[in-house]
Amino acid sequence: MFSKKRINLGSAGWFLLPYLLVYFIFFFLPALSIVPMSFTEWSIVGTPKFVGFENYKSIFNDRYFPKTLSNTFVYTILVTLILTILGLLLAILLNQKVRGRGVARTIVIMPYVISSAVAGIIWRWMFERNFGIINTYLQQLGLPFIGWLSDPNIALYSIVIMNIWWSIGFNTVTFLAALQGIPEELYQAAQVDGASSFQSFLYITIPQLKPIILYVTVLCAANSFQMFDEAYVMTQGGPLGSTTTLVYKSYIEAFKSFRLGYSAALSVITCAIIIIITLIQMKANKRSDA
Amino acid sequence: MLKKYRMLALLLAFSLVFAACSTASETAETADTASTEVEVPAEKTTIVFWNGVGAPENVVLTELVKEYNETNQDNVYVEEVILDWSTLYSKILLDFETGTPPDIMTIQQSGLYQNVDLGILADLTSFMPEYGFAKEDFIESAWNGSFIGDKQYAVPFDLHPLALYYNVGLFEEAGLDPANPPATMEEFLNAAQTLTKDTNGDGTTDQYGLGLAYSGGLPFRLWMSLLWQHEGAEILSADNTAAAFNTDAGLESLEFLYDLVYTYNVIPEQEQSPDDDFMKGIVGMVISGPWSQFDFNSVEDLEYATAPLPVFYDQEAAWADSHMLALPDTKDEARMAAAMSFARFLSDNSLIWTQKAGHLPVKLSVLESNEFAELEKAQAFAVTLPNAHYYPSIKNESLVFGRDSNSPFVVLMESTLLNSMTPQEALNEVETMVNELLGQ
Repeated sequence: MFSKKRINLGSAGWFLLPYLLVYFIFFFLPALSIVPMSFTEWSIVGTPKFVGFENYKSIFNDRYFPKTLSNTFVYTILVTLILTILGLLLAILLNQKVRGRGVARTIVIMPYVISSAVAGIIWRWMFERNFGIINTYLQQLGLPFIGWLSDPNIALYSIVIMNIWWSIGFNTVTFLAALQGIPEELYQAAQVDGASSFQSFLYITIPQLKPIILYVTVLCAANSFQMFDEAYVMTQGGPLGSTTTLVYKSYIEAFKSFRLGYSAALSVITCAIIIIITLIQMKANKRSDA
Repeated sequence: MLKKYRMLALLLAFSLVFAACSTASETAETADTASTEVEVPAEKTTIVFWNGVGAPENVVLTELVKEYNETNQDNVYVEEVILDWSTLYSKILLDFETGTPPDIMTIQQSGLYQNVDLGILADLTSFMPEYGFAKEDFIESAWNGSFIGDKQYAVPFDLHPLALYYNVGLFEEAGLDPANPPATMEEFLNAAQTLTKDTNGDGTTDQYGLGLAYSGGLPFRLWMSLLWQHEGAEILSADNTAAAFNTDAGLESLEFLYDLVYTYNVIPEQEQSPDDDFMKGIVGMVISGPWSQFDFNSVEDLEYATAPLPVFYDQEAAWADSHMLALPDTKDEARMAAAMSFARFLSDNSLIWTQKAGHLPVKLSVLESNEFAELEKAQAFAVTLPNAHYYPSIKNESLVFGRDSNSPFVVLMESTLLNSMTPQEALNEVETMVNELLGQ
């Protein structure tokens, strides 16, 4: 299946070495240490105490864990789907030779320039129930206030909206670059054969973009599964735990409750789920190749 | 060909060196925030002070540090590091483990037990009389609050209880007398209801009597205050091993807050930022600690006053916390002595802290002074001082009295104020949670 080709990095290998070394020492190895840590009870001070699977048992017995898990999955699925589809559509739109597309491209990417924390604070103010700008406009239109971040049934979706606004630029630009890599001749040949623009989209654009679509969805899914900033800045995991995600809970357990073993166990579970999701995505991609 | 690459290589080298230099100077700047101009003579003992009180009050402490460095006769130089509470509480653990803790740091009374239990703080019992700190000079609750068992672990610096803030302008508009703020349940309800109105005639209420968030620390601190206003009521059992709040007193207090939102409709539903609402004139009253004064003072046309927390039930009581000064257990005698000298200076200047930061003094001499009597807005908080209640001192304080959405008392208030559980259901649920946490 795989050709026995030796990967010849050449001089590139030497340039990569410093980064890989730093990555290995300061990220990979510490990340691995989470696994043994998850079998201990530790408050940073003093020696860790080995407790076997106690932390994992506590996690699965925690009455709020199913909610945290479902919050994370719902958020991930929504954000990944919307960001991928919307990103692609926007990219196709911005690929057309229309006037002002340079300006439009800039506008789309601009939100991504600020950090997620800053974006979170901006949106927290906009979403504020009593004097936030969104509700103020709604009120002027005669509509009732919406508890964007204060209604436990809506809060998570409000964060989805904020994240879409913030990250859409990245996906759009990625898809744009990929679109411009598709040879023009393919479309021209299709036109000659009498294909409609929708058929061109379906049978040329999508297949040509498959590797990029996979890249974008894997990245989106892995990133959004680890949502933390928005929960931390906008809602502190509330209201009623409706915006608590796995990573947020992990942070709280580590640095507010000083239960590092428990937090490590949560991280191990999170990591495992992300690996499984990514493997599934890659398998699905391979299958559709065949 | 070679020339091009040489230029490129030189450019790269320069930019790396430049970047390294600027990072180094940045770190030097941030580490030495207090006095960059003062030269430190070699024989002075340098100590590190962690200023964790957070913005905007931390500037007042910074000023005091500068003054100390310029005028002290103890031969001490204080290097100040500015942090927020969150960072301080995690960083102290890490730095203590690696052997580089500060010599003195600010700490809250609520964080004392946990840090003592982890072995981080030094026992100051013998130091205190040496540096002139005596029980009779301090408010009893603050002095006692610095003890864990029979050992003293911190120098009390201030107390910040809850009190009532009210908008004088809105009071007058509503026909209420600003010189006679509500002091009982009845007066409070009357004021709140009078202040709640539809100001522009569009059929919806746009001004409310009271601002109370559904989340964060304040709602449950208010509920605790109401609980303590019932005679004999406590949060935890006497030995701090079980919840004791699921009682009639607890229920009554919780139902009152629920009713304020859903029966009397004097609190906006799903309120997120009561202080901001108060500053915008959306709510006429807000219950908070002295820290809110900073923001309120910055709003030009906001005329406000303070009053002691009304007595809703049997007796006066209000939740409070304290800032204290603690010494990590470095076992370095010289530096600990220097740190205590600095603590002595701060304590002697606590009037300045009260005047500029608003937190209440814990020294009787300051409370009884003329300068303190001149601080109009502080008087309301001072009335409550003898009846100020700290959280029960427990080991996993950050777990049990935490302020994030999964903490038990936040769950209590969110469930009630967002109407997702009845007050009794919420109390039952949280009682179970707290007992579980206390059992760990």
